[in-house]
Amino acid sequence: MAAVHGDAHGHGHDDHHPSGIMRWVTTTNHKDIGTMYLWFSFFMFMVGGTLAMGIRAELYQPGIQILEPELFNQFTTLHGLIMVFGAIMPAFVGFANWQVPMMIGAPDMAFARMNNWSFWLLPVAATLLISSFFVPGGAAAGGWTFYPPLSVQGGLGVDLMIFAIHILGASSIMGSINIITTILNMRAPGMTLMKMPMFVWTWLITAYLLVLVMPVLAGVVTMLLTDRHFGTSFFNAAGGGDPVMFQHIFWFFGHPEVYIMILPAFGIVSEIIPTFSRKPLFGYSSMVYATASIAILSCVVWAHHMFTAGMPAVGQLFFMYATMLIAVPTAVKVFNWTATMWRGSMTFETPMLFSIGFIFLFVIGGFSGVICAIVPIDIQVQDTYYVIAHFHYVLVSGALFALFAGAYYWIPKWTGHMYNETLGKWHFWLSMFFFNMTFFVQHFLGLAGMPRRVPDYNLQFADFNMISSIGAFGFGLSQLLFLYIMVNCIRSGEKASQKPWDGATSLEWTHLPCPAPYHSFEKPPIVK
Amino acid sequence: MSQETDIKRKKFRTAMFLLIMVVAIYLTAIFKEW
Repeated sequence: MAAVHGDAHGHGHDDHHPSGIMRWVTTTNHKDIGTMYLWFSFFMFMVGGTLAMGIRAELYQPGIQILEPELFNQFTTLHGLIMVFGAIMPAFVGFANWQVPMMIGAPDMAFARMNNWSFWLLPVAATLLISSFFVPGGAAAGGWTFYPPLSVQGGLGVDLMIFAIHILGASSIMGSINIITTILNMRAPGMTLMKMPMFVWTWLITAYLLVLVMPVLAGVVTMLLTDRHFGTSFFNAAGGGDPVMFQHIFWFFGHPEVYIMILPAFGIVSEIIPTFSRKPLFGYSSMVYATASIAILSCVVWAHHMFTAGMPAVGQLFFMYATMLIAVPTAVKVFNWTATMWRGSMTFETPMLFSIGFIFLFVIGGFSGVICAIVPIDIQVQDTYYVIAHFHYVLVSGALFALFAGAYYWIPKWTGHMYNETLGKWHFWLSMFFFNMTFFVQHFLGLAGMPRRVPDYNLQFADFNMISSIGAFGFGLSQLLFLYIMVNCIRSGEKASQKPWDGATSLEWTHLPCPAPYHSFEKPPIVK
Repeated sequence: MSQETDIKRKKFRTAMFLLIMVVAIYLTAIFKEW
């Protein structure tokens, strides 16, 4: 592929890079690496989505139809792991790679070679995860949370998963160190912390969260590995270990992980809403403080995932109230987005539609989260489809919808082409319809007592499951439309002007052409 | 000290601080349960 020439400043950067596959293997350019992250995450989204289709196909009717129970469990486990670690997280890192340097006026990421390594660890980990289906005993089947004793007793698939998680964790840690170092040291002159775009702020806070909790995940999988192969008994009750301790350590990582997947989504939406409302973001500083508050609170609520595991009442009370407290900064954000739209000159292009859809549906997921946080209710709905519905409202209509919004918003800057607006709107409305068809009914299934991670169910659940499965097939197919829109945009979309969104104010829109040059901001802009 | 060297030094210092934090948290998680 020909080099894309940018600012001809002659600052020692070489625009000539290897062509073909070697360009992508050896690249240290943040835009190339961002592109690879985005394509990788989309591929993994398709793999995880295929597993979801298998799960929903099995659940279309009661009885065992397609997947034997053991394989069904492998599907649910790998679906969760792949979507969390392979699709959502790398997609946000892809956005960070593309956008953070351009939004702060930096020429590239702080550690460009490490950036390349962070990415190329991902396909290795993905190969380990996917290939675990084909080893004796199959893939890990104890759920994406891999609680002992199942994960201590499982076969080779669990070892592959442990190795994959170690690699993914190393990649995330390197990525977050890179992002923090870039934001703290490479901002353009005049861009103080409180002048940074919200997307950059949310990523700075997310990266700190990652640095805090990924080593804990690495620690817990290391202990699991030594329990399995080196005779330790951290979590093995037979040797004096404590399986519940695993849950505590896992969720000390796991709950902040939820916010790792949603804070950058808040950042994307906080860029898009002001642009299409043609007003500055309402309450910028309160948004920053709310993001930081959410991150801090996320570290003291982990045991709300474990109310049924046995805990003193005072512990239950603490974790219940601490969890409900998160609703306060989250509401600050929702009110600020609403106030930004209030009396704005709003238009409803696809990025704005996905952002409004995000707010609407994420609030539903947030409310069901508060419901789950209440101990007496949680004891009833624990491990039911109510919880499945709750976290899919947060992670699909939350994180994923924000990713779609961001992709439509920034694709003109990335490719120099506009996407097809009519098809984009079709994609939004189809996703909106089928998403709710899939997951809203799962609230009813959960309240009626249908357990998660079971391939068969009582006849009373048949109708809602059929509706949910049809919705899931529709949602899955709708994402092929997204792929078509993106490929069509890259190959033959209309040429985009420098600033196709007239309300956009951040540096990449005001200072850089479309597409952004291969090397941008070699001379930093002055921010006033 | 040139501006470029200064930024390099600052970048290195930030990264080392974060890396030490990562290793410390990892070891604490394991040794606390030892």
